[in-house]
Amino acid sequence: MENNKRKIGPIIGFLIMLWIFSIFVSFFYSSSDQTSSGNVAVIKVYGAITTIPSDSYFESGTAANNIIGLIEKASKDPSIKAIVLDINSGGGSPVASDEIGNKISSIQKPTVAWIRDIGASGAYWIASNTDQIIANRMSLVGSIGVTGSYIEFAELLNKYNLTYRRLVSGKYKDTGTPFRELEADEEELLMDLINELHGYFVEEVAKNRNLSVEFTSQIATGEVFSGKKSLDLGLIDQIGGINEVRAYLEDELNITVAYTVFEEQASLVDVLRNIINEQSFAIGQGIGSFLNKEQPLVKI
Amino acid sequence: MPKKLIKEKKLISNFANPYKRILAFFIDILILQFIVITPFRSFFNSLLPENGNFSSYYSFMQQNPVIVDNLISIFIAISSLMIIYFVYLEYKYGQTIGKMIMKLKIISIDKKELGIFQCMARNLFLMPVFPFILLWAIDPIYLFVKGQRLSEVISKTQTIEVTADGK
Repeated sequence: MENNKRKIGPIIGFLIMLWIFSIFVSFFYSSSDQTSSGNVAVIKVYGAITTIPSDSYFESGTAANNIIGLIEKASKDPSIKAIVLDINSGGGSPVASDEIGNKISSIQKPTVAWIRDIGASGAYWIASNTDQIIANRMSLVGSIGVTGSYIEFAELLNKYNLTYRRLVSGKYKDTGTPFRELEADEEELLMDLINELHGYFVEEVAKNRNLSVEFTSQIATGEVFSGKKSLDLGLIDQIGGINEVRAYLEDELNITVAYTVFEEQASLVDVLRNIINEQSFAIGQGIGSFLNKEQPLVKI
Repeated sequence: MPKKLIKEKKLISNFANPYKRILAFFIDILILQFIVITPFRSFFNSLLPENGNFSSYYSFMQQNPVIVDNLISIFIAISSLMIIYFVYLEYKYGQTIGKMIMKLKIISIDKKELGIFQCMARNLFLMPVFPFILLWAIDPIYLFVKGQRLSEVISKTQTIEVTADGK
């Protein structure tokens, strides 16, 4: 009995260490790139769509480079039978949207766009390239259009007697700079560009959704539509959510769907950088708060 | 059978009851369920379809051979962790927790001290790979027929009941 009592401590210590080691091993498997779980890849398209990733701590979005890489990885993975784009984005760069859309069109596996709160502008451009678009009845869909709007500071500079010193080699070299007024011919130039991009957008949606260019042009006012209205207009295929996505894929492919999220694996450097960014921001916030501390009007 | 071994076997008079051994094993598996298997649960949940039954899991496995390979790799990892449990405790104390509760212990037939390789050899049946997987069928048959698992014959060990004086 005494013998057993002496053993308890070391045995408990051993069990705890074994448990910790098991957690470590399971974490290794969870984070390992080699373990592909599921047969339907889910790729998130969240936030602003850009061509390259942002280094800023404050900006989070979808970079075309990353999404294209993930789509490529999913298309090459033999265990992946279909790709679902989980879309919650108001759009972004037309080039990035086109690049992602072209990538989707090029792969042989079935693709589904699952629109959450919003799938507008560039995000809708991407979605239109998929085989099936499913959105909630209250999702905001569409906004087929192009914007190049910006805030002009010319009057603010004038108010404070600041001067924008213009030094350019070509007349339109600084067209669109916010520090001076936009001239009429420059505005026409920019609008031509915007209209050209708008034309590409309309053609793309018309082609992908089997709609006429005329009809698509009519609805391409930049307006966002509800999921329900989008269905009526032919911009989406089905009202629903994740279960409807599953049902569609299981019906199309005759498989049991198991989702697996494909996302960029954060490297050790990324993790450390995020920690440092977070800590730096907190320190800055603290210093700013200290410096801006309100002083009492009367001191005793 | 060599005379020396027959003589040594005659000295071992308190072979453990097979049912006690099975119970001790289940107690150990229950402990390992919490220590080793539970950390992998969320990973299994992500790997396999939700709310599946045997039939849906089977058809899912057939459709996804890559996932089957990954599962085998994970099972080998889990088995290795379980082997660590058995080997360490049997080598250090001659008993696992289940055996302590059921008052059983492991002895070496031909040596005084239980060796580490003996402990490893008697627990290799936990590896879910060929040829060790054959021991899942052979060991129980040997146990009920000869009072000793084949793994124990190979490792020259035996499970006995602890007497009242703790020996």
